[in-house]
Amino acid sequence: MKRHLTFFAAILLCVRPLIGGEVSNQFDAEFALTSGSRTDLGHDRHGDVSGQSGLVRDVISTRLGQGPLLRVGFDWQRFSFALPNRAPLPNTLQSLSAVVGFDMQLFESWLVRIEAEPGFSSGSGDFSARDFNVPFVIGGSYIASADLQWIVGVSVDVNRAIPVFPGVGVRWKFADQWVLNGVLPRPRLEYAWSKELTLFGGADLRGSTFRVSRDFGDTHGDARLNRAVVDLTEIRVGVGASWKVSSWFQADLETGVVAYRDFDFHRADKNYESKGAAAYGQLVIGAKF
Amino acid sequence: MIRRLSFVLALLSTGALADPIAEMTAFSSLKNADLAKLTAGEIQTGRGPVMSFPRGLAIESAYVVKVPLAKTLELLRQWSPSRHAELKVWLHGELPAKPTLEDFRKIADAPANGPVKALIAATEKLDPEKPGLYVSSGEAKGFTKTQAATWGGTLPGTVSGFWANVLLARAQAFNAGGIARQPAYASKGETISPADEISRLLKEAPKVQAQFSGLVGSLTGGGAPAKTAHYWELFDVEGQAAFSLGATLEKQTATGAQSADVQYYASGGYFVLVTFYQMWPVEGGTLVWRGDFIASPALGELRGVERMGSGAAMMKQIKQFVTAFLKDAK
Repeated sequence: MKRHLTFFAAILLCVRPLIGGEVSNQFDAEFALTSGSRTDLGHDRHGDVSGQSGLVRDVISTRLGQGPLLRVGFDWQRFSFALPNRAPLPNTLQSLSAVVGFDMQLFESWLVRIEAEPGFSSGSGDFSARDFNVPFVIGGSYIASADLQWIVGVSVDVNRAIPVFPGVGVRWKFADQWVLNGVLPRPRLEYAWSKELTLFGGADLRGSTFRVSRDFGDTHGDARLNRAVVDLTEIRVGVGASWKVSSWFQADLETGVVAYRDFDFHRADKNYESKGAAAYGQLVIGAKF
Repeated sequence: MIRRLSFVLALLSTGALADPIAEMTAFSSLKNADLAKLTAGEIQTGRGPVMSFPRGLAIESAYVVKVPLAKTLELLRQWSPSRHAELKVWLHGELPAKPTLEDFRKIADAPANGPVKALIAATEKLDPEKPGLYVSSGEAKGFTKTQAATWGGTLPGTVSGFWANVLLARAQAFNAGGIARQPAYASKGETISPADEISRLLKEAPKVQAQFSGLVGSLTGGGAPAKTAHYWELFDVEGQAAFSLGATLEKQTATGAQSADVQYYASGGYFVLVTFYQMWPVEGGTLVWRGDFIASPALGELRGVERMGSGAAMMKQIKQFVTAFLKDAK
């Protein structure tokens, strides 16, 4: 673990001399609890899987002269599940990665982001060199006007069942207080109740890839799952409120249902899907300065 | 020999100044302006200097107006964005040399839309200790004392009367001593002085400040500015209507003309907006460089790519205004 922290510190030190005048920092943290959802465990067995998840992300960005914005930071996320006995599922999935990328303006209407997250994604409490991966995204936002933006992008992760995943979206302020924020992974309809309070309803589509430990299969009755890659997919549908506490601090509270959850060991041809919905509650805080 | 060299250098120098594109690129951030494309109708836009002033943003643009320079100046002086519904400037009123309350009578024509209703609600809730709109504590205290206007219209008489008095007092202060005479007001715990905002904006763009030094001096010098137009407007800012006051100043230069449109007061949205115009006569019309310098508290809250995005959105908005102006100039 210490070695990995050294790796992230080295990346930060490399870019430190590049940092110019306009420096900003975006910090986000979230915590969610989900109730039990009936899940297929193979061999005609089913059981309730509940869980909690957390995320901490901090990204510093600085403008390089009159040109692009350099983005550097880290991202840590963890899913912990309460599982039935002998369930062939990992009870912990976590990742720790650096965030390295650029935002730039192309022509007068396009903003482009190229961002990689080199790091470790593990199906246990520890990380090893085999967990290393470099997923990345390339996205573009076309600013048609202050009220309308189109978004296109592609996410690449060689470990994922679908390695190249394209997406499109739109952010449209179609009335004074209404915004259709149809951007993946969190498409939402937003209503500005006041300058400080926004109500929203929508979905949250989560997908991450992890590698389980080398003896995971042996201890869970299927040797094909040793060091297997697992895609975790969750589709949440909910409503919530976003409170702008100050110009730099915001808190979101939301609740709803996890409509679908899937653990897909696609290379081992094993797939464990939820068969029912579960309730969830989530708190997200964000600070920018 | 030295004399001959000086002569050649002088010729080169004169040649450079006679080239409007060369003069433009010397003080602006638009380094790739192409006169042929501009003459063909293209509007080129770009970001101005990157600012360390957190709530400052500069956008530059260039275009050709297909009328002579004198006519372009006249059109700029008289142009009203309220003729174009998409620009969301609902009212525009010209002010005479000595304005009176009657010059704000058009407030009665304010549309009955959501943003205007939001302004009415915000005005009626004004707390003199902590005004939610950009008015001084003294101005906010005047709300309960102001005599209601009897003009009718969407705004209640007390609200119309209050804003007419605030705008009149600020317009008179500008007439008497320019921006320096504008009363300061508090916003989010900070004292905002329009003169300081302009000075901080221009400090970030020294070449533009030098290019327009004559007009800047007239604006901020403390005397009565030699303005060629004075006006007020009612417009939309993110779903809430706001009033503004602006003035236009002009100056002839060796190669053309300059103009500055200074919105020195707004009741919401931004603290100041200064638009400089440098104009050169070219074949087929007038080449215009336009620089918009805005100080807005909303910009101060944006970081990273959000700030980059706001610049791109403002470019779009300015292009929309220029397109509307060019349409009217035909």
